[in-house]
Amino acid sequence: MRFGTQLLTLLSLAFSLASYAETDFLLRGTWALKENTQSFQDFGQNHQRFEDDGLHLSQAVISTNLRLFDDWTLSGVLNAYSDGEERFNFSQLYLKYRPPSASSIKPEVKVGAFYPAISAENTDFGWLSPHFLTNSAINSWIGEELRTGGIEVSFRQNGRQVRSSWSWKVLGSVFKGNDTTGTLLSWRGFALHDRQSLYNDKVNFLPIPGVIDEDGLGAPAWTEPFREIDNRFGYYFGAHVAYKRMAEMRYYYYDNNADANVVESDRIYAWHTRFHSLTLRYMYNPNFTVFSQLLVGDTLMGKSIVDNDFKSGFVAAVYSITPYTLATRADWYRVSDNDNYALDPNGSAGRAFTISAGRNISENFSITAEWQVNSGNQQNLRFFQDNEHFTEHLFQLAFTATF
Amino acid sequence: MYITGFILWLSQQTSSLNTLCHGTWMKHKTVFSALLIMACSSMALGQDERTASFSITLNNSDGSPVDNGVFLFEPQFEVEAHQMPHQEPAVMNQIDKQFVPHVLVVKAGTEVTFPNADNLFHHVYSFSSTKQFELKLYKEFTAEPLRFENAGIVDIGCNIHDWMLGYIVVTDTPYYGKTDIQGQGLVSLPHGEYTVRFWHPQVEGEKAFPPQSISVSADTQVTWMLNTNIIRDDGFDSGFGDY
Repeated sequence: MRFGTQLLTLLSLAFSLASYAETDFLLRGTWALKENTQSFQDFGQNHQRFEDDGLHLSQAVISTNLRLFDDWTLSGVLNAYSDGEERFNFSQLYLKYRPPSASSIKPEVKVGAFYPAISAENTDFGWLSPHFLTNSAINSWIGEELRTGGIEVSFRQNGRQVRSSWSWKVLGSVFKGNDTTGTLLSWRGFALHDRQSLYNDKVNFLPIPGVIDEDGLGAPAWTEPFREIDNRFGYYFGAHVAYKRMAEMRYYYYDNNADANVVESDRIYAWHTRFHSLTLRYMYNPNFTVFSQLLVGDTLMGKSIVDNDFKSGFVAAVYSITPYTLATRADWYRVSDNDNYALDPNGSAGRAFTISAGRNISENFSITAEWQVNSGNQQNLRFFQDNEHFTEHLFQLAFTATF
Repeated sequence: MYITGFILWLSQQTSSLNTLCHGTWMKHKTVFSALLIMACSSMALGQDERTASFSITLNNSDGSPVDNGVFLFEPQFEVEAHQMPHQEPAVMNQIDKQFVPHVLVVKAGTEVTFPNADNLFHHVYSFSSTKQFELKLYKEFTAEPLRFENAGIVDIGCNIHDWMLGYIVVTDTPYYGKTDIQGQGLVSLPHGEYTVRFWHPQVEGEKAFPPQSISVSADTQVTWMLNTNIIRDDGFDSGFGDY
């Protein structure tokens, strides 16, 4: 019944005023050959999204921008997946007010659920990456646990308009509904995949005894990333600076301002999570771009029941010459456990290397092959295996149709 | 001197002819007189009917070619209606999130059409004092043409794609040229005296190339050099966000 309502909503978005709507469709089938361990989505220790080898519906996206009336746009992204808990729902839904302005400094307001524009790699519609099948460790986490339901106000100046090589944008936001952010970094660690959490979604993870046991924290082995628990507003602010179209830097500070002492009756906690994010992008020439992100933050749950620092970074390079794209990325990540709760060790650290090759077959179809290795240590794995080490390989062959 | 003498002689000859062959002559008298008056008025202004091809090569101070440089040739004589060059239909298209052409030069009074060749929205606007307007251009849609009455520069932008910028240079003079990617521009000019003014979207025209007076009496090729270097604009790249 709910699916029907959502579909009707989207169809009305996309088609009822077709001439006023820009709609993109994407369908991606992926044949995956993965590590022979159980996925976190199936309460396993593996950090990969797919639950088994074989063919998966890895992405099905309808993204639409509907011009409502003067200067107002309604944007919605509806996703479907063959894995995870919530398999068909919106990942983003927001209103955008963008009035033309005689001033070279122009305002914009967004209201609803959307991503802060932190990512250097998720630049395609529906927050997809145009170059990789899996996102970096940072953006896999952003896709899982970060979506703000709130209002963002920004001011921007395009340098080209004022005969300057420099463009800039400053923005700030207040939001609710992101109180559990930090759970996955602490109890599962960073992962690399392209499964975005959807509205009403639930993300599972390995049932660590100290977390789920009644004489431990008694928490479930899943989190609802967008749940509001403490009724407090969070905030983020950021600044973008670009030199022509050649180089860009983005800085964001995010603080969900959660009251770490609030817990709901189903033992879902509010996690006070803060981070700094730095995004860099340099286009050497139209065929060759390098980009990088750095993330440094911390998360607190209860009175130091969980107190972790986290950091991650990646460097990626993309070389494209029509119709081919070759992309490679190196990721590293670390979660440091600062609390003294011995039954819940959260420390983890790892590195990943990804190489991806794609070819556009036609305007609407493309194929991509991607290989990835992700290896590291995670302290809580010792409850399930002989040591804390993991190495995970993933090969994917994807066929993508866009319309 | 010789020309004035020739006209006087011609007037005398036509009077004689008029007397001799009155009937036939009457049929052509009006046309011939008109031509004569035009010739006389032209001569009186020191202007003849001939045009010259004026070819420009425009370089930066480092010798590299400059595109989208606009030269306006303001005639220092009265231009007759028949000397006006034909104004091509003026189009400011939108292709791959770019205004095409980046710079459009039109004579004041010209209508410009704004098609949208892209399969996405553009919201074109101008807040320039020369001409203010707003056009919501849906996918593959062409709006009613707009008439640009007043001379000046019209900066046009797209409210959805900030990096999209274009310029319409509206001129009082019918004689103008714009340099291409090789820095080449070509103008057909009636012989005479002109003041040449320069404009470019990225620099202050008068500083980069001060106005100058030229006299055109034959096909001419010039190489002009700016006082500065203009670095060519980058194209649109959607990976870089919306500004």
